[in-house]
Amino acid sequence: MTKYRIKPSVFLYYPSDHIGVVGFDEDSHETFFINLNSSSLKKLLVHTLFDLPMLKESFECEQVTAKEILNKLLIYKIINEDL
Amino acid sequence: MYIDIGEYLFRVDKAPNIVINNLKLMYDDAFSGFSHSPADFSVSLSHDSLLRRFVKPQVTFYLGNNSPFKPLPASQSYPVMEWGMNWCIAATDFNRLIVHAAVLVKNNKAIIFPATPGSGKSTLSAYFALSGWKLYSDEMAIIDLDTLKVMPLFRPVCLKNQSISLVKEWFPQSIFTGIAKDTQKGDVAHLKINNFAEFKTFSPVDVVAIVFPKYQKNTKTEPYMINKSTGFEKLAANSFNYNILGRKGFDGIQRLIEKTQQVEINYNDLSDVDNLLTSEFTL
Amino acid sequence: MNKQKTYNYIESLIFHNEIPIIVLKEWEIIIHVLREINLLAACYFRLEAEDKLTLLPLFALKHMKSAAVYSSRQSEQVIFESKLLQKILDDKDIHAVFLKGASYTLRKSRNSKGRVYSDIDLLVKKNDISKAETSLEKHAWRTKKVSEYDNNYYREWSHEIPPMFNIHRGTVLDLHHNILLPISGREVNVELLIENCQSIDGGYTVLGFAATILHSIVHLIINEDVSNGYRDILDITTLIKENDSPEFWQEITLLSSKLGFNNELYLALSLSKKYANLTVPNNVLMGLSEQINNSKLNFLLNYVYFFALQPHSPAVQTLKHKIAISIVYILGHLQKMPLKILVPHLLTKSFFSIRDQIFGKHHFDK
Repeated sequence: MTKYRIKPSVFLYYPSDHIGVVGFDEDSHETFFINLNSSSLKKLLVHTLFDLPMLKESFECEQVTAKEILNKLLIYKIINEDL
Repeated sequence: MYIDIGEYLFRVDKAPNIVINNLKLMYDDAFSGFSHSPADFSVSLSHDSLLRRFVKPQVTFYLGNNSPFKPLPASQSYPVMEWGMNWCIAATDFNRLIVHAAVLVKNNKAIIFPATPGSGKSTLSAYFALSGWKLYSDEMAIIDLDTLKVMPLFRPVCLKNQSISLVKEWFPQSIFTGIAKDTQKGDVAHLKINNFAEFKTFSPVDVVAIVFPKYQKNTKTEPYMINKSTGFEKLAANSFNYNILGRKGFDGIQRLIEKTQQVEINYNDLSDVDNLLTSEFTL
Repeated sequence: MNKQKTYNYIESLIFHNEIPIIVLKEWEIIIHVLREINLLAACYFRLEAEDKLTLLPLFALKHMKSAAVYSSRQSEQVIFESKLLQKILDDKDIHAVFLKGASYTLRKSRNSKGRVYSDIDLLVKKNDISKAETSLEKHAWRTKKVSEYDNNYYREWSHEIPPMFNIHRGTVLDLHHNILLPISGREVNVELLIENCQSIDGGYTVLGFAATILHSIVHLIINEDVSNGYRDILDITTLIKENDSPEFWQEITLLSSKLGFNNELYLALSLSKKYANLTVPNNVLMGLSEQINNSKLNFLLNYVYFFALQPHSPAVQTLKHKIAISIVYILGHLQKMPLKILVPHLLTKSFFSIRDQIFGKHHFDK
């Protein structure tokens, strides 16, 4: 099972109103606005390494949605596959 | 010649007489022949070419030997000086977060009004500043990233087009420069708010709110809270040097957003906005 | 403060990290000159390395620190950009060598901190230029719009294609296939230079230190524009001091002889001695005895280059500086092209600059 980790150059801000998450990548200097449930994301990223089932659990969602979320995180370049 | 705007000191090496006269009018004692302090910037306004001195005269703004803008008609000399000064600050200060925004202060609490399109921030600045608020800036919020306090700047307000006549109507005693016509922003004039002695009593203060006003002709004055990640996005988008500050900028804006409220206000009457903000933030 | 005094303080600060003992007001001109010659950030990092930042007045520190923040951001961008470029070229099997500013940053040499970059310079084989251009275009790089005249200049006479820029990030890239104009008859044997390459962390290729320094020297001396000359000598001096070893000196003297740049080497080393008190080993000087005994060259050194490279700021410049700069301007052009090409080129160039003097630089902008 493929495992993923958050990129070490990425920093996240979880706003106190729990709506969305703001990220910053120190390498590319890009700032991105992540349209995902912030408490779920926070829950997920407590783990250094995670996989798709763990994502599904944190977000309490269907497999299909979990895959979409994983894809989103990959497209944003927030996470890397753990090789 | 020196211009002391509080946070920065400018040395003016060369400028047309009309500019010097307007500087005296806008800056009173802050404009002087000499200063014992070292100037942050040495600027000048000069003609570039032989032809342009006499035929359709042009001026160019210089910081040292560098000119950041194209030459502009000499009739716009004074606005060019003011815009040049803005440029010097925004292009060289990477020690603080600099937001393209107006800053008005009441009861030692600051509200930042980012310069989003349709905000009418200049007219708002003039109105508030002449109605009991302190003007910290009509153009740039200088924010210390450690204390998150905003710095006062001693500058006139830059008004455009109809705002000029509007403000003259509301405040007949106000002190204006002449109007420079046909600039890239339309007709432009500068308005003096405080004198330097009053300004010297201003000190860095905490920010309580970041307000995004939107002028709409036929609307009730209505505030909307916006969510913090949107607030972050809008504030960063209006910051001159966010891209350079990197992680420090990200952390600073994050803390500022958490510390303040972010509000959008549709309005058509500035006194309503004044009352709303004063009561909302107990100023 | 008079011009000579101002210059002396600046030389001690830049080349010897000596903080001037002056009153606060006098720092005004020092900071303005440093800003003018783009050495504010470099000064910050050099003083930081010697733990001397606390000796600066707040006024000086804040301006240097601000410049350092900007410079660090640019370095990060160069590193980020280089990573992407290396991948694009690797994918097409194009061997590229990073030159100048980017190479200093990538190899983390001592002079890399505080740099101001305008672009990234890459050296590729002449045969690979087209392939590289095409591949880059697929990755959002475009060629800058230059006048038709300049376009020809670049492609036919110069050693590079017109600059490319990235449409998303605005970064500018210069692709070279040599380091001197082929038409000048002083074409460098590029193979020799590339033989001197080394691989560094990250999988990048850069020239060896001797070749790097020689490249920097040649670029400085055989150039009509020396407005960054002071900064260039600082680079050269810092690089030499970082690599000061018998092997290094042997390598650079050998390379210089092979490539025929002993005059330039002599000038650069002598200027480093004058500004920075650089120690040059005796055997190296012995190898340059022809230059040491060349009175014309020494005249150029002491009365032309010594002044022409000093900061191009009104705070420091006198008439002799301006004359020296004009002489270098003419000499620089002469060295880059044979006279029959130079004269039409200069005439075209000067028509444009006379035209701009009268009508103003932007009159004909579209």
